[in-house]
Amino acid sequence: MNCIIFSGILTLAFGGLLVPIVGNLFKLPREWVLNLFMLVFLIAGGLFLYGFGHGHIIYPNLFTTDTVSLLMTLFVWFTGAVVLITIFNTLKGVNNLSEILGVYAISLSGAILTLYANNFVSFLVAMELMTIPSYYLIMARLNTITTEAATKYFFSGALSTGFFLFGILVVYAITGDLQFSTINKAFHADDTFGILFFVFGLIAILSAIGFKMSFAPYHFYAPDVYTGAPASVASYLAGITKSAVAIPVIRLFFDALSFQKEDWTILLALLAVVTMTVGNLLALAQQSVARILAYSSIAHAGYILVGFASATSVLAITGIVYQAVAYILMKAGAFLIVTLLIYYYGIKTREQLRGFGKVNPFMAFVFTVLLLSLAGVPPTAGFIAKVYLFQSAVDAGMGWLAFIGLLNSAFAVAYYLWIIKEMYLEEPQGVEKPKDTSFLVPTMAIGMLAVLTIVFGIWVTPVVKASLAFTHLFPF
Amino acid sequence: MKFTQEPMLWFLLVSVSLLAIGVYGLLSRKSILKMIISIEIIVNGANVGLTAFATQHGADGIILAFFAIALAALEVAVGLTLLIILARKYGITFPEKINNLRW
Repeated sequence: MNCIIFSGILTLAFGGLLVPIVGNLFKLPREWVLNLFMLVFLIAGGLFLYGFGHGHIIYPNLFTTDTVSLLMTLFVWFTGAVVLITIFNTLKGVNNLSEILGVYAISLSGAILTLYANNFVSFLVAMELMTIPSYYLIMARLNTITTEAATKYFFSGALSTGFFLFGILVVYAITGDLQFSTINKAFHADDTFGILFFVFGLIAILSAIGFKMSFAPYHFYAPDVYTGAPASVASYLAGITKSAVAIPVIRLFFDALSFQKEDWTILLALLAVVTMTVGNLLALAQQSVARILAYSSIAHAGYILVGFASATSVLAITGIVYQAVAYILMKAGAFLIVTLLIYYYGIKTREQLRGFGKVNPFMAFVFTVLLLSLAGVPPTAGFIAKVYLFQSAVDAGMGWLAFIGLLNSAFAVAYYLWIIKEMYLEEPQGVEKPKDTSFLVPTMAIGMLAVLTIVFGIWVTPVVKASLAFTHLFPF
Repeated sequence: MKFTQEPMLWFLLVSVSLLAIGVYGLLSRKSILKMIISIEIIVNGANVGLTAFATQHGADGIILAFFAIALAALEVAVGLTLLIILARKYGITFPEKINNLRW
């Protein structure tokens, strides 16, 4: 991978390690700690931008540098900075805030490193660098609910790591190789036992990825964890980590496992149908806003799976990448707005949102834009992503999958519009203006995410160009 | 040598049975400590297989096994933190006692 990008990732990781120590040694006030973290983020962002045209290649067997991973780096970095500001503003009462921010920076460095993984070893290590600090992040505010969420996330995550190791073991036993780009040439299992064994390994890998991206049979932890954790942390877990995992999974499925596409696409198509339907139907039944967004994140994992299921189409990778870009902006942004609603207004359920458009018009407008993007309404990035995904499903000869996806999108509009209706068409019911008025800075930061969803809903060229260049790297 | 032949098959059998024991333990035990030990068993089962196949395919498997050992240590560190928090602050060592979150 590009050594300048790698030094940016190291800046984030070591900044997360050193800034809390410096802050505690010199007894810096909290604003200074946040400023130091913003400095670390700025240096890292400068290195990421500088790395676009410069830098030598290091670790060529473990990590790769391509257009999509560079593009996603910028999105993850920017969204990560917005999440950092919101975590700082909404977790003020926490004793060890500087350590929480440090753990968050380390986890974010893992998320960016995951984008470049090109090998089972680096994929596993980067994914765990991302996941293990997030167990602590969930317990940022220590009480029974967050501890329970952390326990659930920890045990499902640890089990998924074990399954992933077993899947790697199976692939390694059959092919003797761990690098994505050479596995497909090394695969030769001609006897029945070998193929059965390989299917076992594929299911193990799929369940590990399913835990990380919350696919249908493995989604049970997701709503509990996303509502139990502080909502700002949930925006990191639901928005950033899930999109970051999707990029190396593209390399895994389209490159390493590209030799038996017909066998696993139908399995992924079924999983996509179940995931979309479960997520959308259960979201309709919820009252809590955070829980609605948690179930809608499961539904969006289903839309990404539509792209993986239509792997024989050239458009599939464009769809997946666009969905990852759009998802990282709109889901992280929507969860961050929920964070502000809970912290400043005490609003948790849909009823309490009544008339919120009159209480805080700016925040309500930003939330509306993000919800419309999640629903897939035209001038937003969510719409373009769905166009590419369903078009690729039709191209791959799975028109029924595109049809079910469209039906699900129609379902989904119901609960997003319901929230918007409660905000604008009802009268306010005793929602008080908060005494703490520091919500303006995080709201404006989240507003930039909302602006980006509209910008990338109109200006499609950068993402499409990057993903087309990415598509040419794979055998079709 | 193929992985279905004599010595390799036995290593594979040990490895997969360790996975089965670990998953069974994780699902059936109620104490957090026993669940953490089950996770260790799963990861070590994978390590047995990786190390065995590294004798056939070159050093990649052993490298991955080293990484996996480090990951298992990290996971135990997090798990013991959870156990200490639950036991000291709330006096619970059985995760089924906490059920605030329901779907």
